[in-house]
Amino acid sequence: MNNNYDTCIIEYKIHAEYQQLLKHQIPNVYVIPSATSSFIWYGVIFLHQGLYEGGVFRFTLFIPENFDCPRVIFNPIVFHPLINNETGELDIKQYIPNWKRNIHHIYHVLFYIKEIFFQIETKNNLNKEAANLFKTNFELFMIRVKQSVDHSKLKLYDNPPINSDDPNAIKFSNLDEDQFNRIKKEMINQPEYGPD
Amino acid sequence: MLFNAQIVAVSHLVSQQARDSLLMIMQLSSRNSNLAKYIVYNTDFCPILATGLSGLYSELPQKLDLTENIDEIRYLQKADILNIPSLNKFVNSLEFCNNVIQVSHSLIANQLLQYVYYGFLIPVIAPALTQNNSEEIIAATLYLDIFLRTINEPNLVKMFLKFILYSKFDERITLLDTLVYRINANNKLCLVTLMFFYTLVDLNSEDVMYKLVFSYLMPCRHLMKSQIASLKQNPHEINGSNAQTFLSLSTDFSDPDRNNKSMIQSMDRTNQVSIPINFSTLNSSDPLYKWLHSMSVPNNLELILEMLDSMNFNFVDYLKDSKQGILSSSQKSHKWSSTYDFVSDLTNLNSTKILDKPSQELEYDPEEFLFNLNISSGSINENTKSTRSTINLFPRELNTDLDSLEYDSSSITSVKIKPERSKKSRSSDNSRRKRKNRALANDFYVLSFDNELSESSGSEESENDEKIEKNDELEEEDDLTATSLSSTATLNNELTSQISNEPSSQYRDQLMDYFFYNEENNKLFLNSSLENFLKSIDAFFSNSLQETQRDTIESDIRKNGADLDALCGEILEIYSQVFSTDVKERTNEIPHQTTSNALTAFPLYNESMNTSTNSSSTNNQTFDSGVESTNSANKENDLGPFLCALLNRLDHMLTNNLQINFVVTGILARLAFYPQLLLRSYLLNSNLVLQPNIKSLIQILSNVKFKIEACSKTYNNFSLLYLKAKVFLIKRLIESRKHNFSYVKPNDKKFAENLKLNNVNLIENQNEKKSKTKKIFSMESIFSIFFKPLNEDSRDIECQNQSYQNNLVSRSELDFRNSNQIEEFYFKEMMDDDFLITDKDWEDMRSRNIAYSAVVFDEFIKELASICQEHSKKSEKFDLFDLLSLDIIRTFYVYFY
Repeated sequence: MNNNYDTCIIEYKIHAEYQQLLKHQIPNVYVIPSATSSFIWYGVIFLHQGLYEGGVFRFTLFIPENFDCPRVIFNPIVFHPLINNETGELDIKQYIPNWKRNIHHIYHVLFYIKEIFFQIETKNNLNKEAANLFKTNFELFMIRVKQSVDHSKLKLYDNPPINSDDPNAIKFSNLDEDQFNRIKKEMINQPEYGPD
Repeated sequence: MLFNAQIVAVSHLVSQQARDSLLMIMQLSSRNSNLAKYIVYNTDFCPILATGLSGLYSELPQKLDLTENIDEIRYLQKADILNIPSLNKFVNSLEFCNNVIQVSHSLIANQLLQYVYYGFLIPVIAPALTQNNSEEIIAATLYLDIFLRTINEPNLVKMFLKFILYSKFDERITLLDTLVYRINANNKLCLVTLMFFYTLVDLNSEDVMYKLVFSYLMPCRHLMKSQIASLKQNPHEINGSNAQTFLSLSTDFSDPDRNNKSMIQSMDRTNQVSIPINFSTLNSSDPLYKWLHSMSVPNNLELILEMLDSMNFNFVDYLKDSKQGILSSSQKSHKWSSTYDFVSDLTNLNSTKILDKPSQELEYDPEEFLFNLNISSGSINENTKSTRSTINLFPRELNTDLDSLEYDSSSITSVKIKPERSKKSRSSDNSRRKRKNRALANDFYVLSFDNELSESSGSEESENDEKIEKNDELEEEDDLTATSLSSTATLNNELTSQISNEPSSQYRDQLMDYFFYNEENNKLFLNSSLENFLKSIDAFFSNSLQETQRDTIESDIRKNGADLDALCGEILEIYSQVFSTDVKERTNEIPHQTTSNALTAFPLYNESMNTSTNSSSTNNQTFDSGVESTNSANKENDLGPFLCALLNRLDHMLTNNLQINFVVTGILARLAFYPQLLLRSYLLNSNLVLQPNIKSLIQILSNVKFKIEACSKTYNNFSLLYLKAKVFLIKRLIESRKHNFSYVKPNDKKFAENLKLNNVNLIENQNEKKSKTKKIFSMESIFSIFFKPLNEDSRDIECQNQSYQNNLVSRSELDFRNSNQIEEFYFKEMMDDDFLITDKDWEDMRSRNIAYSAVVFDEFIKELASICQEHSKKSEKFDLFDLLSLDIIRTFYVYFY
């Protein structure tokens, strides 16, 4: 029975985390919990400026059951000094070395996710190659970045890379003008739920 | 014209058709102001409706049969109303009033509201709620409760609330204070009062909550100041630690795992039976199964087993209910004038203006409608005056004005309001005439009473007299306080005698002396003057009272002796509670408290009100300052009388009646639904550091838990007792459900599913229901479920038990022959040893009550934890998880891209 309560309490913690996230409203970063597990959140970040301009990167957030530091995996992998080039995992330790449950929250991580694309950190990097290129050969670095961005755009309308059968997985589809206008109208009529 | 004359004639008819057609006319009036004007000015439609209410009310039974036994007290259901024809009639007519106000022109609605207030609530309901006979008060409270649940027109509800919250018996004591005070009363009165408060709290009215709770919490005297900042920063505790704290309080009996562990440990000592985790899997040969079987009615055993299981895992259902409750509560309270969350209150902190805010916005909006009508607190008179300009309500108001003018000129300024007030309280033509006389004849405001009233006030006099004697005894304990107490009593007494017996001028002069003396230095009312007073009263009695009157008084004294003893006991108790610090406060506090007692204790509401009004008017200034100082003193580190009384009841859970426990926990849970941080943080935040003399809810609950566990150790096998209590509660639930689902056969599979669906969460499915159906009488709560008369149930079941036990015996004997003999024999042995002992314990009222309390306690813990959880994830804006309008979100991304 204790397990019963514990599950509830953990679920509610996640819900509360999500509410906090909503309160902080990080522009251009969107996450949604998986329909099957609250511990998996699907996310996407849109970059409208900076080195990664035009990039739309998917990532998945894994929250450990003990509410320790979450793991963020980019898929497809983004070429970035802080993102592991083989696994796509983001180095969060760089930003929050000691994760404390009562102090650090998921929205901190999302802030960080946004930050890495604007301020490139080159110390203690997971992706040494990217870091070196950034320091020594910026042009080549930018080419690799551009490849990442293009790749992300190319893969955008594919099925979500993981758990593609999850109803909450983020899917992209093309809109024609009519559809776009219809949806736009719908959203304007629902200002409460639309973007600010 | 003819047409409208007919309306009035028709309104006497009770037929539904006539009502409907009237309603249609009313609806017409909303569009045609001429018709409305005609109805208001040229017909008696509104007065007839309102006085009709009064008339029908007087026909209601003064005692309800179902209040004779505390186990039978419950919310009056639709069926009950139908069973009492007079009540049915009344409720119909109230509903009609409600509808008229809803549909008619504002002119008519306003006039009717005024008539309902001054012609029904004040003169009829108020005395009914404050009479002496507790049985009648119980009935009156139940009636008021049912009225409040019947009406749904916001303006009418507002009138009722204004009456409940702001109407006063005299300068200080509102009806609300009296009602709150009754939470500490004996079981039955307490129960109905609590039920009434549940209804009140459930209205989501800001005024109710302000009066009951927030006005006391807002100064933040209950918590350490350092807490406020951190609360502001983290209004929502999101780690679930509060919920965990609550859950950690659950008793061992409710947890099969822990339970079994302790069982196994103690297995060697006694023949304890382990409580299974899953009851449905119980083997039919298990002694526990048989034991359960012996308690259950046919076909219900499986259901009971299932429900026993579900009770262990019903946390999710509590969560659902809490979510629903919190959601509806925050929706309905988000238009309140303040958020009561420290942030907005901090600027107002410590300013008494808030506490003494003269006007309150009453926002009751069941239909999401904001009402900006101000209600002046305690300014019934002002209100009338303002309405009078538009609607000539009471012709006698004119007299009042005359009165006031006269008084103004006669330099007794403080008296001005009083006659008017007393007028409000009485409406008979007779007294109206008398008042007219008085206005012309008297230069002092001694009220002339009807003959029968003066007779009855004689008995009150004797009670007052008796009180003085008792107070003399008190003097030995506390000279000063007792003196001032008896001085007020004497004052009252003197006034009563003045009033009732057309006093001679000599007495009036003496009285005036005392008044002025009193006004000058109220605090130093000396013993000598008291003696004088007693002497003068003696003289008064011997001289001016007739023999017959004296006889009746003496018999009254004898009759009331017992009551007065109890009263004095109460007074003594209040003494010990109240007098702790300042002498000045003491002297001022006593009259306050005694009058509140007098109000509840004395039968003659009108008289006692008038007399106390009079006496207070003379002491007006001193009293006012006194009340202020005592109020602020009381409010120091105080949660307010309502919360204190509730928590006190909770603390005594083990000795409370089962029903009371249900209602107390129900009210507290309902209060916890409110999203306002001030209240929520006190009730649910276990990390909040409170002032040392304030107990938190969690402290009280741990205390209760300690008591339960201490008690349980005195029993051989409390777990079984606990289980039995559970089974009995479930059985009651099933019985009441069966009532509701009578169209389905009980052994039908569907029925079982229905039941499971509906009842898994025992508590608080009421909110959901209510919001869905909006039918007030379909309120089905734990109260209604468990207010099914237990005795009847158990009697039935005992009979059945007998036969079943016989069955059982014969069957086990059969088994005994057929199957494994030794094992069966062992079981039988065990049943004799163990189960019967618990049965014996069960027969004992006290232990049964403890078992019930333990069950209620465990459920309450779960409920509170679930409320914590729901609060923790609640967001100010909207709940994404609720909406799950994921389509929108998905398209949203595309749009951005």
